[in-house]
Amino acid sequence: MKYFTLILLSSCLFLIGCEDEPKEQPVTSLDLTWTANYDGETFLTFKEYTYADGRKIQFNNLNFFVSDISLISADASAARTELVEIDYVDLAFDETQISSAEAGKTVRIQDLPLGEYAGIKIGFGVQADLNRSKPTDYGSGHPLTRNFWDGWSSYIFSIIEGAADMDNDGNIVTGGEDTETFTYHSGTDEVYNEVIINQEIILTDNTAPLNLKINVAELFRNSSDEFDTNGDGYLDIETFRGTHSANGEMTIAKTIMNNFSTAVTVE
Amino acid sequence: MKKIPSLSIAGTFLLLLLLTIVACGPEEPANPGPIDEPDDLLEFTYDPENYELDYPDYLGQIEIPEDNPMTVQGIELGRRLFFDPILSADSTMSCSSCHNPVQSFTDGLATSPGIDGNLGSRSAMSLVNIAFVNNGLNWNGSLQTLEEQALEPVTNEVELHETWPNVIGKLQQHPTYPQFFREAFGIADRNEITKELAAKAIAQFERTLISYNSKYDQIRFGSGVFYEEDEINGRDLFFFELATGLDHPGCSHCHGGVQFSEPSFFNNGITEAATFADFPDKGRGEVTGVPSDNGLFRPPSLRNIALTAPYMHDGRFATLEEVLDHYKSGGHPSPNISANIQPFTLSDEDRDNLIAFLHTLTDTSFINNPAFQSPF
Repeated sequence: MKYFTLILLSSCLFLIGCEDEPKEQPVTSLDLTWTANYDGETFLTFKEYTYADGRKIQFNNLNFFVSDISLISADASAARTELVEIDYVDLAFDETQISSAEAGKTVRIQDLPLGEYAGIKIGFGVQADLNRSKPTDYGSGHPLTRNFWDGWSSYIFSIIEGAADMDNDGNIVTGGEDTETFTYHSGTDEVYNEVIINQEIILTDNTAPLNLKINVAELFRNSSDEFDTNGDGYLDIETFRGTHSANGEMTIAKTIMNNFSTAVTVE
Repeated sequence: MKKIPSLSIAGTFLLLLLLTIVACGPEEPANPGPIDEPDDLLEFTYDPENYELDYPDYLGQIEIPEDNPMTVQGIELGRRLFFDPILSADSTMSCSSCHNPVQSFTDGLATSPGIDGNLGSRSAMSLVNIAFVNNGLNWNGSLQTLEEQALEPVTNEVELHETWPNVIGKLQQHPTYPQFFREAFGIADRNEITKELAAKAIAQFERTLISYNSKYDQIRFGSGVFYEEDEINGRDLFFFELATGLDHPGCSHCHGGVQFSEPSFFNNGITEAATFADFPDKGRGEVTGVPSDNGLFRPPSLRNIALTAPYMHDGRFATLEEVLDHYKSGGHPSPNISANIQPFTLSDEDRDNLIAFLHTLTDTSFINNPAFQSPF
């Protein structure tokens, strides 16, 4: 009987001890997928679209940096769970790469706690502390090994390049003295833009990818009297064929980066 | 008519012997077959000495493959192989024939002839700071590592036009190379010499070809050197885009950063093409198979650019003046020309200033570095 009591006591202590061990929090993975469209049509480079003012437009480059993407907790704490510190999103695919364009760019985030989230925060551009670094600070494959502007000591946050029928003659000329190309390069801390999208996101064992869709047409929205000369609500690309985020063009750069807030939708 | 003197028997013998010696050459093995001498190299010490690349942090990071660490012995073997015509079928050309140190490891030709006199289709690229290139080597980024790249010219029909089995045979029977391979890689006998080891050695040597002592670098170091006024103006034209609109050179779009390059591929407008299919040289498209990549090429580093004429992938421009005249014209029309190629205003003075700045990228200590010269 004495031994039986001892064994019983030891077993209880063992079980109590086990109960004190922390439980592992269930986690899952999440795919973030970036795609681009032009007013709903799959975005393809060198394909002609119609700009807001009716002229033909085509693109040969669309890429941008995103920083500090995080999920916002649904509880009262509004704590953030970081998904991506920095990434480079290149969505330039031509008509022979339609499947790639439709698939977009995906990054998989591992080990995220299951649960409900109230929304997602996305920084468009390179956040200030990382924007102090240079490509030479990183090894190959790191997002920040490209698109650095020495003159500005800043990364180029977004690059939108292409051409349009500037003279409305029905043709788009690329190259030579009559070229109709445009380059919108936005950068420096001043144009960094954070957006919080309030949308319920529930992470389960089998969460569908989070699709982040950019409507490229919306990146050109502009309602200033100076840059929207015909009053259609979009940048006058004939007059303002580029920005390098300098002098008076900084406003164009800032507007483009701000437009990412409304150009992106989350599904 | 003069009578041709006849040779005595002894004279004939001596002449034949002499001809035989001349024909074979001092270090030219004839039979590349295997050698039945196991462990014949163990008499030589294998004690490789690690080699640390020494260069300023601002140049960036060099990634050394785990299976090819840098050693003093590996680099020395690579240097020998790089300068030795033993890699070519007729022993007339080496890597250095197209990558001459004096011309910052180019050859001064638009396109280079191989051993048969046939011209390649592209200009020899400079090897300056090649270790920092990590988005694909060659003009079209076709090869990822220096080890892969070093294998290619040997068998290329318009370059060294040799076979690797032949090269390996020659190296195995060479009086000194087996020892060098032993010292660099620890092989036990000469039959263990492989093309992969030869390529590793060449890659090690090429990783040492680092330039960081140009005037541009000295100014970055803050070593009491300063730009002249024309160089400052040239630098600002190169890096800054202060003009409203697109009326500026915009050089740094493709030649940015301390390596004066960019890890991308561009169509810089040197070829007129109506469609993607019309580029005579497909460039990057040859690698990716993507039509809109046709006509795109890697922007070479501009370090030592004043020493590497002629310019462009086909060497079409003889001078830097011609290059700048091309860019200011806005290039030739083609569907995928980089949007950064825009016509811009450039006075003669500004053009001279830009070129003055480009000359600050010349590093004569690099081209004269004894470690980069032929050991022969």
